[in-house]
Amino acid sequence: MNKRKMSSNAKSVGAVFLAVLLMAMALAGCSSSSGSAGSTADKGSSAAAAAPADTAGTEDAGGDTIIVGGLWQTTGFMADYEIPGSEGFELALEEINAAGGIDGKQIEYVYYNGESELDLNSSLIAKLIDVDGAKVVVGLGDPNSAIASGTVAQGKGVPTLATSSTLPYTQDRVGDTAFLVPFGDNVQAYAAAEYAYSDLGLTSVYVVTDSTDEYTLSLSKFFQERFTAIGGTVLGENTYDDNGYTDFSPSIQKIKALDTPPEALFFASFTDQGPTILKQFRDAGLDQPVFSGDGLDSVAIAEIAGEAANNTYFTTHVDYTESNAKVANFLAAYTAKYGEEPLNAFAALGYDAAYLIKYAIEKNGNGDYSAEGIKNALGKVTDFEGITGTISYANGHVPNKTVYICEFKDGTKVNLLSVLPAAE
Amino acid sequence: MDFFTGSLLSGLQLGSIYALIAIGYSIVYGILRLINFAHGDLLMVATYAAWILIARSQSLAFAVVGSVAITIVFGLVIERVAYRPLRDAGEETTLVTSLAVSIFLQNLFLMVFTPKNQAFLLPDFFSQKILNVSITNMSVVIFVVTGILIAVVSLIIKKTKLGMAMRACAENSGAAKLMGINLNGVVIFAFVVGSALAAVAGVLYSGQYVSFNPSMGFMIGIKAFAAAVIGGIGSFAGAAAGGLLLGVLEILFACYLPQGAGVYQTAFVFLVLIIVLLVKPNGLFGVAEERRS
Amino acid sequence: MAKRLFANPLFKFLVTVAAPLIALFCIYFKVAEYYQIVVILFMINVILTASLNITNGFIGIFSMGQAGFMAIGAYAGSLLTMSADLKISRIPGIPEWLANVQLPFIPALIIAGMVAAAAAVIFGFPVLRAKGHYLAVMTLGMIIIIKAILDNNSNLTNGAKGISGMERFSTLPVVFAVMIVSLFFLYRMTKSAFGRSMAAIRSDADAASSLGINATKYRMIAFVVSAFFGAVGGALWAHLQQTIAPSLFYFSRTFSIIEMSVLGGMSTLSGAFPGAAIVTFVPQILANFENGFKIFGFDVPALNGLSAIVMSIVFILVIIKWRGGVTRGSEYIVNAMFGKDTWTGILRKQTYIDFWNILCGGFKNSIHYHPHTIEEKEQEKKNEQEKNEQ
Repeated sequence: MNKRKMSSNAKSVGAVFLAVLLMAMALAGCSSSSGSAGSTADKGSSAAAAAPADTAGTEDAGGDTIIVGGLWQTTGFMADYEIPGSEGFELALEEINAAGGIDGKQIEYVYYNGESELDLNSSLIAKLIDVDGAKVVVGLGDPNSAIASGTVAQGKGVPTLATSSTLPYTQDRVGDTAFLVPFGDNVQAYAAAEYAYSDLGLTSVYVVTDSTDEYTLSLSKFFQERFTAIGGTVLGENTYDDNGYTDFSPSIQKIKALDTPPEALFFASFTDQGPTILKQFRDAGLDQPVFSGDGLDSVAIAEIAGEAANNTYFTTHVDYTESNAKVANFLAAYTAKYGEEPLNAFAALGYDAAYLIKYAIEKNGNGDYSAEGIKNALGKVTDFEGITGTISYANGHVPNKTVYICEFKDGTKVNLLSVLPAAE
Repeated sequence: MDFFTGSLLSGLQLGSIYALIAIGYSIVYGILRLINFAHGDLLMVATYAAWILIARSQSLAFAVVGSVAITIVFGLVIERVAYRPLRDAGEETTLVTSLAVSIFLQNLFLMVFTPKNQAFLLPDFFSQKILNVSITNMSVVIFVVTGILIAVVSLIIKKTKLGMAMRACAENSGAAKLMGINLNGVVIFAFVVGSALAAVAGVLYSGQYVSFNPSMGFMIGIKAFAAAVIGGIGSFAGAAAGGLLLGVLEILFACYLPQGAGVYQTAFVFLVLIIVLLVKPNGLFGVAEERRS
Repeated sequence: MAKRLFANPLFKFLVTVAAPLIALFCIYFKVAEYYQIVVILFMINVILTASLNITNGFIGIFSMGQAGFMAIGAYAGSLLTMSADLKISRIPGIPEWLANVQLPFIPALIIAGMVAAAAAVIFGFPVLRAKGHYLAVMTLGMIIIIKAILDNNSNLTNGAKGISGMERFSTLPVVFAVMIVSLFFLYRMTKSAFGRSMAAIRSDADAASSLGINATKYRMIAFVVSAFFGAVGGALWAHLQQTIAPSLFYFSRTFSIIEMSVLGGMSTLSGAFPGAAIVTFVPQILANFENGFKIFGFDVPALNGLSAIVMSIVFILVIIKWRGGVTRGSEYIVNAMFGKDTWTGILRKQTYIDFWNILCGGFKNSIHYHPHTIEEKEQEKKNEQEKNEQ
């Protein structure tokens, strides 16, 4: 063999050792990362992460902590909802632990960032359950992720409490371990439709839907369903693909091509598209009232889009201006801890999630702190009073709760009214 | 304004932006036979730069000039660090390297700015409508700026010495070097022009479409590249024509599609590319080139 | 000494067969299930990389479309293994015939591979007519088209929302077995006359044609084979992650595979190992730092995307410095794993004697004087001859 080939062979053998070395490092790195992932420099409230591996699947009946997992999308397109959500949740955990915990047991909290990436969420929830021993997982991101990771949790019998997903058929898709803290899209879309038609007297609408997420599709579907059921007309719908494409001129052109312009517009989108949509539509001369769901809940939209955001209505989960002691206490505590008011309703949902767990276990738990026990306890909840409304899982794991309708006006968000839909 | 005209106008708007980027691709390709996938990401860099500068200085003019300058710097650094050492490598190598640079840029900005969509809002002047026809000032600005830039670059290439040097290098860089032309200098100039065009395109694009994030540049860059190829890469006029054509086709396609098929918009662009390449392997206006072995 | 050591069949066996097997054994039984995922991912990546090397390195078609075939494999494989109930609940509108098909894992893998192979034939006709970087860009277009089709046919694929719930069939032993079988097949292919033809076509397609090699046909075959194994990798991946969506098989995925291919050395099958190792394990190591850490008392904030940045820098450096990747054209690893020399060699006593001698000789040499210049080497030889004569 000539020298060059020999050195290449040596490189190859070296390559094999390299591969093994890297693998060993990676595996070693994995075991230690479960210890570090649960802590960030400035949050301060979470307890240390749980011990790995051995707790997988075992009942935690006798320990003196309850391990709660958090899977929040603190980066990516869901960050606007999940950062406030996780902050609300952690605030509540702090309060609960300070007041003695759940049935005297402290809550141990481990959490990861799912980065709004579908496959990462699926594997992280497995990690939370198998390695960190979480008995219930909160957060979960948008419906796509919530269903994916919920499925994994269902397979392991661990209950999940989604705080951002509003998908009404979550329980059908995932199973009996899936619970929602917010109301379903059917509820909020119905409220929006009725407000548009009955309260504002708008009889025709054009719908623009983001086709890449379960949330936007279901929101759009239910809105159209109710709007036509109560007498309105849907003049047309255009779906768009939200994969990095921001030009709405196809929708705009189709609207303009209609014989009679619609009296209202409905968007099923996420917050980060808000300013874009509003500005492009207003620039094109479409000044009709715009309706959307909780995906548009963010004061930032009004601040950024300015005038373009006027005449925009959306549904959401809480009214921070309500004169209600609980809400006021929450706002005060939140501002004290984080230095600013909550960005949107999702902070309140996160807060409610923690107290919901405490309420369920203490009222219905019967001393069973295993995943199965917590699941059963949650299933029996019938009248939990949170700051986002009353939660009952008697008729299914998606609660029927008060819907708040808001408007963007002059750079801020204004709460208009609240509606409690009839139980269906 | 009826549906067709409205769509056509939107298409031309998008196409103008594609044209600006496609020209940048073409210039660099002509000289180096390099497909620079990171070119589209320069558009993104410019947008972030402008966004920060506007917030800091409240002056649009300063922000634009500043972002052009910053983008040029990025472009030159990339050329020096990643492409010059590979000057003699095969075309697939440089292609993959440019892909790596693109990923690097995207992730760098992802790390600093997070993946969140931001809003790039220009002063209200741009949103005001001209006449009664629902064309905003922004659209006019896009057309005017693109037209001016194309004319200017075209003049540079045809009339100035540097432009002539570029064309010489494009035709045969070996011979050009023998004639005393400094290839490195010409390449630098090409990157400066290309980066500047990409920067302006970035500001125009984000000003019109508002939403931007670190991953926006890659997709636009790929489409603009497709446009350049369709028009005939290496040919300046081809790039411009290809850009406009592609923009129009893309928007018309999206507007006339039945509802629900919007997803095919990008795929459509590539279908056009594949078809054009099958029929005219050198693009619509391209000239057959000998493959350097 | 090293030269002889590397050539020794026992050494080859120990390094490329025995040691990895023992390591995998330990991992399977000792390491927690969650962490085995990394190793399984590594093996899947080896398959994906090797499949890409066939086109990019062996026959000279630089394809950037491997993520597309991976997607086809992932979707086809999942739709074939999921039960009817699951499919109906997860994919509203799914046609009955598709819902009712259910196959065991291995047959599903094979059929998924064949679906991708068919797609490769369809795409191959236009794409393979082009050359060089035009071809590369057309393969990018292929990914875009495949993603658009997957996004847009909700009744078959649930669209952009993705599918989840397929079973975790990709266990360590299963994936290992598939990897070995796949590599063996590709190994035999590259060593055959077909492999030699591929090399000829890569060097100069016209010359090869003049020798009677049908370049077009062979390129298509290579493309199809590459697609088949890319799809197998995709299906394995789907049954590991248990969640798939079209967005997961797009540019960053295809670039990942190209990264592995180029880093390891794209003209060899062996390159798949170091390439996949670097790209699979380094981000895991870096992931610990992405969440923020303390260095000398300073808080470094969360650095999302750090691993991608580091990987792309490493990639550029490697390309500039080492064009041929880590293995640089050496097929040592794969030859050692599957070669006749290794497997017949370990059955011969002489091999063990040689091995022992080399090792002892190595020790002796390391404490003895090493000749460096030509004069010194002549002198040393003379000394040896004199010793032997005595």
